[in-house]
Amino acid sequence: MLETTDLRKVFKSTVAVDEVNLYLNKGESVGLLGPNGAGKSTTISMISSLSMPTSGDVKWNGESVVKNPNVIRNVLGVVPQEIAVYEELTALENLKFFGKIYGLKGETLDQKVEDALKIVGLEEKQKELVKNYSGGMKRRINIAVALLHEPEIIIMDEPTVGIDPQSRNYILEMVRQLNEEKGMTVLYTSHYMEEVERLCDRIYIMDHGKVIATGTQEELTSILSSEESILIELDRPYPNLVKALSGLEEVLQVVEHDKGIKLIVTKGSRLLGKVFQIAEQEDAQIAGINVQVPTLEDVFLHLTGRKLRD
Amino acid sequence: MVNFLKKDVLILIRDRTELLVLLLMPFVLTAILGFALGGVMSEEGFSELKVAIVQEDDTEAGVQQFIDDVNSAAFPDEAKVGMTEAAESFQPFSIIEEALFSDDLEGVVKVSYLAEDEALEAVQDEEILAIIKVPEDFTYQALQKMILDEGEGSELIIQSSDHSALAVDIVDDIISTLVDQINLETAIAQVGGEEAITSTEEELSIHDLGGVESVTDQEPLSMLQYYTFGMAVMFALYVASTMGSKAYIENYQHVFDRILLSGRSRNLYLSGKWVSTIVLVVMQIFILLVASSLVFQAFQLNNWAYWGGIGLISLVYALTIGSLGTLLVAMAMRTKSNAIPNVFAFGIVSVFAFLGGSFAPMFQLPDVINQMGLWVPNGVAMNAYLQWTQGLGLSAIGPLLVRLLVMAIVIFSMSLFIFPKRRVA
Ligand SMILES: Nc1ncnc2c1ncn2[C@@H]1O[C@H](COP(=O)(O)OP(=O)(O)OP(=O)(O)O)[C@@H](O)[C@H]1O
Ligand SMILES: [Mg+2]
Repeated sequence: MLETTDLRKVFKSTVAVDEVNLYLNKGESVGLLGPNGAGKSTTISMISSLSMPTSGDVKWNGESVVKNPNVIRNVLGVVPQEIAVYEELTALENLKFFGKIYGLKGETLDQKVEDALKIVGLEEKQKELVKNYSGGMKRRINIAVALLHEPEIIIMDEPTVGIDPQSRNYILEMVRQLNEEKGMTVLYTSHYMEEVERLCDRIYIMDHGKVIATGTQEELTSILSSEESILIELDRPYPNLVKALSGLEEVLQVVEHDKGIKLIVTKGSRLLGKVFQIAEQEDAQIAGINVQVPTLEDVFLHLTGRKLRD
Repeated sequence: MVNFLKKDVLILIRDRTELLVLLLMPFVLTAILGFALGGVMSEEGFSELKVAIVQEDDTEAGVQQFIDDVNSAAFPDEAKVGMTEAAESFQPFSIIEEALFSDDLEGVVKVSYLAEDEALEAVQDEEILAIIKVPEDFTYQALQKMILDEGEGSELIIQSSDHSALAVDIVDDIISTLVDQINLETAIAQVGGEEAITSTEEELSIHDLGGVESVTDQEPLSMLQYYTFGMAVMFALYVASTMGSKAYIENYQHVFDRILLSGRSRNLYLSGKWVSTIVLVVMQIFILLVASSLVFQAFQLNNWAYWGGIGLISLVYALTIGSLGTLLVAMAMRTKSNAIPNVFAFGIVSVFAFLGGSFAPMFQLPDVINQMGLWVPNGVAMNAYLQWTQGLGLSAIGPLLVRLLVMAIVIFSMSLFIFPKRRVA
């Protein structure tokens, strides 16, 4: 029901979004995954009619949103990446204000406001000023505003950035319920793999303005069916060890991270013995070792040679 | 619209510092400027203009000398009798004295008699505002000039320290109006003879002077009143810049996007800003004037006709400031920065306020500045407030109000033009 065709956006010199084609079916939960600056937010602002595409089109049930933004406005809820509410107002005042600009009034307004507060779990804090909210609560009121007019489709732009795991869990669970129980169509943007893996039926992976892969989680990870990864925990960095390991024929990629290194290797290469051997040569203390099936993170790594987050 | 208004007002009220700037500051400044530059203030708020009369003329001797002159001259006896009577009943300075002590000037002017050196000292000490010196031979020379049209006449001398030019102007005005009036009456007397002279005596009161000089027509302005208006019109300008800045924040916090997402039009948003500014300005001016009336007794609260006019001026001025606020909103949105509202608040407001007479009283400013003041909204409103308070009617302030309305329309059109039309690329 929502579809973009060859969507493109150029800012002076940067191509922020490059020929993006994506679609959402009714009731689907779709993830848009990509690192910083991939063009996710820009794509969303074109879909929601806030910014004009340089070229390409966005269609809602076959009608162009670019030509007539009104076709999508009443059915669309957008949770912006930023906290887009009035900090100096309370949650209740914010909801009432935004409810009214959507034309809600009287008892319906009160009812919808109450519902929205219940969904995001802010009933008890509704009379506090938003500026005194915690990060997680701000994220929740940001979502509540988008739910007020009961949209058919909700687009969330990194709704869990910078909050504690508990609030994050709460939000993820809430999104799952909206999708599964209320049948709301969801486009969920994130650079957290786990979130997208947990919530989404289908996934688009974006990088440098382009969609570089798409499919269900299984389809995407099957790209890596010929690979597996070995996680090696170390007590400290060993540059020589990294060098030695990357010299091995079966090792496709070596990635360093804070607790150790990760090897992407050809499936079934039975490297563990060799790894221990090299570690001993390099005098490295291995604190733990773990062989993993591929994740979306690995898919991204495979496709771009970079990690999703630095 | 009410929804937008409620939100804008709530947001402003929650902003303590902004509120202090918009409401408390003008009030405090009114007090400081009103009292410090006033010189016409006393414990009970607006006070009397204290003047001292230094009498160096011997009135009776002057009259006698004039009568002697007349008698020794070669006039017909009838004329001699008439002129003697006139001189006895029509002593120039006592008419001024009577006027100064009359009920009409009760509470406005307070007169005392002092010797010259005492008077000068009192002026130095700012105990009195001005000295009206009646020079030697004043009566004699004045009578000669007025009745016989001989000699140069004589002049009252008004002296003051310059610590309160406005108040001195007022004294000056009162006296010169009286003198003009006396001259006018003598001219009539010279033509019409005796009858006219006697009739003028009864009629000569402050009331009959109405319309000759506006300042003496009604209570003169106190400095406190002056600065209440000065600060009111000046700080209304800050409401405009505040609206601009708040709109910038709305844009910056992406709330504006959210409003657009709902399908509300941009022009509705802009009109909402206009209405909000208007309401805020009206509230601000109202609070200031009432506070100034209650705390400083700057104005009497029970004069409905007077407040009706003040309300009208305030409303029209608010329309103009509303447009100005809208313009700043449009520019902040266009440039996606708070720079223009800031430049306005920290620079342009001061210039406007100076031109409009909010800092130094207009009476003291060069004419050029006062002329320029008529090109800034606050200056126009200031003029309207002052003229209305001085008792000039609607006919006087009408053109000023029209001027404000024209400004309101022009500025609002400009903001519609500047406000980004469609989704920006
Ligand atoms: N208004 C703008 N003017 C110029 N360049 C822009 C503008 N908005 C975005 N960009 C550029 O477009 C690219 C994509 O930005 P976008 O915000 O869409 O990325 P994103 O995927 O949402 O990243 P993040 O995860 O950090 O939110 C970036 O390189 C960014 O610098
Ligand atoms: Mg983004």
